[in-house]
Amino acid sequence: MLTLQQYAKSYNHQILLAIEHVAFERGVHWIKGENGSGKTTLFKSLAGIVPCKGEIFFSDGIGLKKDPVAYRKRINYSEAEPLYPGFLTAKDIVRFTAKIKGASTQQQETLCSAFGVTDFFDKPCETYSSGMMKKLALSLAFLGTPQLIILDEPLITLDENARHVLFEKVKEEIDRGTILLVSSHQSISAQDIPVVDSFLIANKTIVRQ
Amino acid sequence: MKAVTSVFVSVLAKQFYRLNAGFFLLVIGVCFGFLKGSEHIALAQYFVSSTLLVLIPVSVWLLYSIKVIFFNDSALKNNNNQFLSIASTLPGISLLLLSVRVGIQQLAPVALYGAFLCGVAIQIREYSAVPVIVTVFLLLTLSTALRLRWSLLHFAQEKITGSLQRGLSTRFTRPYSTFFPEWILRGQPMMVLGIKVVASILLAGICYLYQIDNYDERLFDLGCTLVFLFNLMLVFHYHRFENFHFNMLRSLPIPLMKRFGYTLVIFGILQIVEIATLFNYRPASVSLLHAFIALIFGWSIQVLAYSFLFTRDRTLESFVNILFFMGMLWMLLILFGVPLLLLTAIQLVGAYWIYASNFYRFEFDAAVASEK
Repeated sequence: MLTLQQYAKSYNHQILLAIEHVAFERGVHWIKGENGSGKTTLFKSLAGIVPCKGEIFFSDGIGLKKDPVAYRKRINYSEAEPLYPGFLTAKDIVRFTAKIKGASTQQQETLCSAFGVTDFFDKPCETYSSGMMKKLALSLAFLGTPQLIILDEPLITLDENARHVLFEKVKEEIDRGTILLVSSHQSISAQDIPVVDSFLIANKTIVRQ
Repeated sequence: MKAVTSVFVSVLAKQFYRLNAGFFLLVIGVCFGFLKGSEHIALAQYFVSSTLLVLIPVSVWLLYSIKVIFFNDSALKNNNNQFLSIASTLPGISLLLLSVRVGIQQLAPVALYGAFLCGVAIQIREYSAVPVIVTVFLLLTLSTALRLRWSLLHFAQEKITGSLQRGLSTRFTRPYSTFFPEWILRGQPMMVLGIKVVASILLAGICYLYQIDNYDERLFDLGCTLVFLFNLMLVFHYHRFENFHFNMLRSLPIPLMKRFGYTLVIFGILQIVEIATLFNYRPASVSLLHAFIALIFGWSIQVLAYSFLFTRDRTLESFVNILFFMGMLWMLLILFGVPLLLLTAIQLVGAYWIYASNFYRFEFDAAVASEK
């Protein structure tokens, strides 16, 4: 279980998001909200990219502030519109991330092959379409053995085949007991992704729906 | 047309000056800090005294124009500026005029110094230099404008990977420590080249002074400090790269000490040219050990400045201003004979302390975001 307590995020002294208490159990949680409501900001805080106030911790006590490295080891994040330095290849980014996450070569190859990243593995990112970039980001999101996977708008720009792969990977992670936070403006059918519950980010906070 | 020009001037010309504020501050500092007004005029008279000597400022202007062209190319590749592609639908002559207007604004420093040289040439009746200066300025403006026009007309050009690059990418995986050096070399080659050339010449020049007179090791230390101060521009960009352009790094489980270690290695790679110059031209009166300590001292300056960038999001201007005062302080400490080893140890420990206290707290300020 992942718990957020007294979470607050502000920009230029203006509160963007304030969450008194929320807990996410294992399974998929659909995070909804209008554009600009703060979904990506929340995800970036959870991923440790931007700082925030309050506590974020797993049920065994490992927390973002207390154990920043151990916490980050458990989290994978796929951005809505991923961007990587243009000259790097998918191989450079996958190998580097896998080394840090302790992911095996076999897992890297399985994921890259499933998402179709193998086809452009050795090509620089500046030659990718947004869909290819998304596939690379999703491959990275499942690397290692994360306890929390954050998928920000995972369905945009994805082709049909990659969508099926994504649904399969999500189901595998559910079986493994992973917590998945997914934001999507497109509807998610229970057949594709069995959602445990959904939350709405509105009025600068999050509420269970 | 006025509205289109104003957008282009904002995105390309104003942004060019804003992003290169540090470079211009450095140039202004070097020019007006070391030379008096009469020396400026004497130098200008020397330049215009023959057509061959005019080529000295002309070659600097050429490098500057290349820098402008690189900037425009990279600005047009930026996703945020994709909307500028609409300009390709303008009639041919309008597009050229637009490009010329932007080019003139970007080459304003060339125009100003060129006008100054022309004035000096007319004053001392060296008329032959005037047409050369005017022609060169017109040619540079035209080539900058034509390149911009071409880039606007080829916005959606497909990127092709060369066979050598494909082969290398298949065989090797880039280690992380080369990500930033390659990124900055590809993105701002003129800046890197300029820093390396100036730093090497300065270092070699200071080492040469030891052959013509007797100096103690402090002159060598001052030279190293200056050289590493020049390199702080790269440190600023490295901080931007690591925390903004490749910010996935912040969410990876890398211990702070290891992150710090990566930084040291990357700064080492960035200093290869200076290290080679330093050991190649090292004066006999400066021991190998002292040269090594001076090198580590320079390294500690960079690491301290890098850690300092985590205390809060700073613009390049504010970073340069602070460094100017820090540079003065370092020079004073060296002149008063404070041991370099002591300064290095204090700086390295201080740098790690600042880094460890601020790394996870650091965030880019939306108000400064345009500087990235």
